[in-house]
Amino acid sequence: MNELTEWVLTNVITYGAPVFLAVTFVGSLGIPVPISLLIVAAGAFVQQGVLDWRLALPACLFGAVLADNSEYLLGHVAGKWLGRRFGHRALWKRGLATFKRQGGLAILLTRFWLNPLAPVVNLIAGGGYPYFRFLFYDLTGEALWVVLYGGLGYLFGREWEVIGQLMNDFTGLSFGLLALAVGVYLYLRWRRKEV
Amino acid sequence: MTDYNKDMQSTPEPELPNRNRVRIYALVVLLILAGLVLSAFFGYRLAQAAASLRHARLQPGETDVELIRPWMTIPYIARIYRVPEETLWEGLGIPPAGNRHKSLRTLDSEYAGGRPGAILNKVKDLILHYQEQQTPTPAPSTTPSSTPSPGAP
Repeated sequence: MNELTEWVLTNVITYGAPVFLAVTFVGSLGIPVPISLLIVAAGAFVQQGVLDWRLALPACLFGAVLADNSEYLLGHVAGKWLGRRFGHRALWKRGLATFKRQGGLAILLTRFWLNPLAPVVNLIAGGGYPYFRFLFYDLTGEALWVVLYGGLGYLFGREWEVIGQLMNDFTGLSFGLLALAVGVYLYLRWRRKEV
Repeated sequence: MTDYNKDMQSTPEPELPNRNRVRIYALVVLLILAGLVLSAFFGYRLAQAAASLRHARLQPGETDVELIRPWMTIPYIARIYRVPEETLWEGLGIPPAGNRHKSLRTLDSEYAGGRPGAILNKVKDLILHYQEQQTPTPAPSTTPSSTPSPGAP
């Protein structure tokens, strides 16, 4: 466990929900704070009676959703500029259309599973994905994330450090399998074209 | 057709598909290699964490002092281990005022000359000592003995 994580944990058990809100906001912006581990820890703190879940749950949800919306807004501003520059290109139009069709799934999955990709997806979504649809998938995904990770911390209590490690490794393994699947898919498609 | 025109038609055309092929090939190899390395690395760690989880679940409950970490504070430890906070402060010889929000690591640097783990180990000892004191001593047996004592009539 690094010093930053230790510092955050000390402050969470001392000051409670406000620190938790600030940390989930900062972490959800893509700044490297191990927030998934902290959610697991928060679940354990709730079980120990150190944190009140009625404050911790909304704080965590609000911090994460606020960060996602900030990135969406940034993507919206940048998207206008990019649209003026590349809007006439077929590739740009095709990319936007694809994201409008399938972006919901990407938003949902990057909230509770492939979390490191969430900031990128938020920025892309800001470029043209309808806001209320974004908010719906964002809230659903973040709620799943908090309940799933926090719930595991609550259930396993004193073993929350191992659970946090387990979830981080699971995300890493998912990225590995995803890269492998994309690589094999591209290889097969390429071979088919070659033949 | 002039020689110049012949050259223009023959040289640059086949290069582009070749370059594209190399790029796609490199991307595919990179993705597959990265995928294999990441899967193996995180898969191994995942298996290790799962094994240690099974191991950890077999350990005794909230009295296990080995679970105390340097980021914890004295009030938090007192609450989790159900030890009076004053017992820990008195045992450590540290005033609680101004120190209740500090981690064991910070207390180490301020009160133990920066010796890593000094305060943590002392807290462990204090908790173990307190737990020993709290363990009820077995009450004398009240069951009547079947064999009469030598002094009995």
